Amino acid sequence: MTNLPKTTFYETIFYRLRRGKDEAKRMMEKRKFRLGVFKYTCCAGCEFQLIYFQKHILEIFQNLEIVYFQMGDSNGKEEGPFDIVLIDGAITQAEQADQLKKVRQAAKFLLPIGSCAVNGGIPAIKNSTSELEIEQRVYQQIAPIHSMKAHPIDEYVRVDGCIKGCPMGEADLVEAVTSLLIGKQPNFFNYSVCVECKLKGNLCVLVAYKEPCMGPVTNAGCGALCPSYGRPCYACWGPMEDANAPALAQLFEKIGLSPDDIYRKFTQYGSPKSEFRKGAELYGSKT
Amino acid sequence: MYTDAFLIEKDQFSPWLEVLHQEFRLIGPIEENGFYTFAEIQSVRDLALNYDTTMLGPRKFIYHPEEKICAFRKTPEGFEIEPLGKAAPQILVGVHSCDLHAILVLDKVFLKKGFQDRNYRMWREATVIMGIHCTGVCPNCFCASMGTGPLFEPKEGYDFLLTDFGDRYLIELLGERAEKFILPLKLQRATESDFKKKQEIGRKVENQFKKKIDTTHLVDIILRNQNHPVWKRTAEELCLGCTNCTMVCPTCFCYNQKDEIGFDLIHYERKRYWDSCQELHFAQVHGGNFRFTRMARLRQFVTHKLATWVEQFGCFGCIGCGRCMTWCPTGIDLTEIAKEIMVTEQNKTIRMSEAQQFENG
Repeated sequence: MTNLPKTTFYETIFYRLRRGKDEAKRMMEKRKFRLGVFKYTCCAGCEFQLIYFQKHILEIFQNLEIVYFQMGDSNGKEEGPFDIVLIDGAITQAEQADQLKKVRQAAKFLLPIGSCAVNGGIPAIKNSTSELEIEQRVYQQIAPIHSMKAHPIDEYVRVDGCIKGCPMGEADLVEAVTSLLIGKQPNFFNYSVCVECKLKGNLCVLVAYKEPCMGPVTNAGCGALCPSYGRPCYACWGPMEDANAPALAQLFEKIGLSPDDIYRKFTQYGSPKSEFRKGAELYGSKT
Repeated sequence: MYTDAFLIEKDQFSPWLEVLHQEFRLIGPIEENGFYTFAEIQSVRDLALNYDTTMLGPRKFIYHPEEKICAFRKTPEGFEIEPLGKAAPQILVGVHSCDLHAILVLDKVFLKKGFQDRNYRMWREATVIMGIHCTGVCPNCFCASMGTGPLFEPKEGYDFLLTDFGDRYLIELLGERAEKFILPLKLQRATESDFKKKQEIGRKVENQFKKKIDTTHLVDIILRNQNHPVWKRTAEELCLGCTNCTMVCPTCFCYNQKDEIGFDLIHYERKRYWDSCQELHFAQVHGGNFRFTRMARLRQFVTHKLATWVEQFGCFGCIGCGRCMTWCPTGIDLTEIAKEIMVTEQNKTIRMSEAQQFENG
């Protein structure tokens, strides 16, 4: 894992002051926001979701100028500069990391979109098995493969917020883009799925039916989609900050889940994140 | 205030509600997938007045989980605000004694202490409340210990109060609004013996409680033991930080606000939704977070309900409905926490008296 120095408090303050000035200038000029969308290791579902969302939020896209978006437009300018960059997918190759760092330098705001970019997501399931074994299972010739463990974006560069979800949630995306357009701090969902369930008045599937629901440790934003239909949450939004995964993992054991099942539950969507790793490590080990 | 009491046959009761239903939204307990829940009722037949408990109390129809507070619009000079939302007249049927007390607690928070909350007042005034006395206890409730049941004693907070006598209800009235509703029925007035019967039912229920808590020195004991090991142990081993306890608590009143930005970047809407002290960002202020650990958050919930609420509003924040422990995925029980602290206190006094005896020879 790359350990980059974290930004200090004063750096953040300077950054915000500078941002405020830039914002005022942009507003005066009525210039469009320059948008870049980059894709790394993922299924590209989030990018399709973005293309799909513009049906609803066409007004928002009127304020945006697409500078680089390979899925939507083949004549992009990769070097920027950008106002907003959305990053889709996890980092699994050294050259992806190199490009990501360059993009960060050319971008004013950089936001990872979707579980892969935010938490490692589905690609990070392979992190619990050794690289060679994984590669041999998929490819006959492993010589041209330069893959490494899957990492979320924020392990390589500073991010200005996360748009979670698998695929990314519309509410968070709209909040992020509109907030950046008017120059305010985006107000992301930062509580558990349980809150959304209670706000909707759903019966708790974990307590009432003893279903292994990941809701208590999962970040909200989906509108409690699965529990609303009586299904247990499977944590596609990734971990909530300061989630108590070990306590939930032990509860799953009491409900009757096997150690393997519990391990898979906590490594399916956010295995690089320490919140989930704590729960997974009680019931399995990393090779 | 006008008070009166009548007897109403059960055959007469449903048609009467049916008539009221034409004018009002009718809200009451219904059965859904084997569990009871408060919901808007389509037909009076769905009403399950013999329900035990619900996950969310009737508070969600007065103090809504999510509601729009105001809309504002950017103008060249600044911005214009317009308040949003109108209350629809509604009847809450079948509110248990604990939940009636919970509504009184919310009244203290939103209406009586200094600032009046516009939306809460609007919905509170538009709501006719019909309480009902429990005829049994739930596995987790302890209202008798908190002084909030099983019979509802205060002469405020409700319009009608029902007591089940088998084939008929004793219906107590409070206020002129209630009188107006019941006038066309021409009912038989309740007598002294009916009230005795009601007291008897109350006594019968009171003897069934399994969960109890001694509240005599509770406030002092909790405040003295803020560093007791029980807090840390429960927070680390059991508490998920999922906020279920505060979401289902009928007296929790915290909310958070969120601005929804219109796509044209000119129109905005301000929404409020239930917030929870069990959530990490609740205590996030400029310069840091003053309840950074899960232990501090769990301790805040229990201490507020059982101790500091008394100083703040003059009553306990806990009304003994037992929802927080029923709907906690890991079953954290605030009475067990309080009891563990009390046991340590008792041992301490015993040890101290023993030491004194030893000194005295």
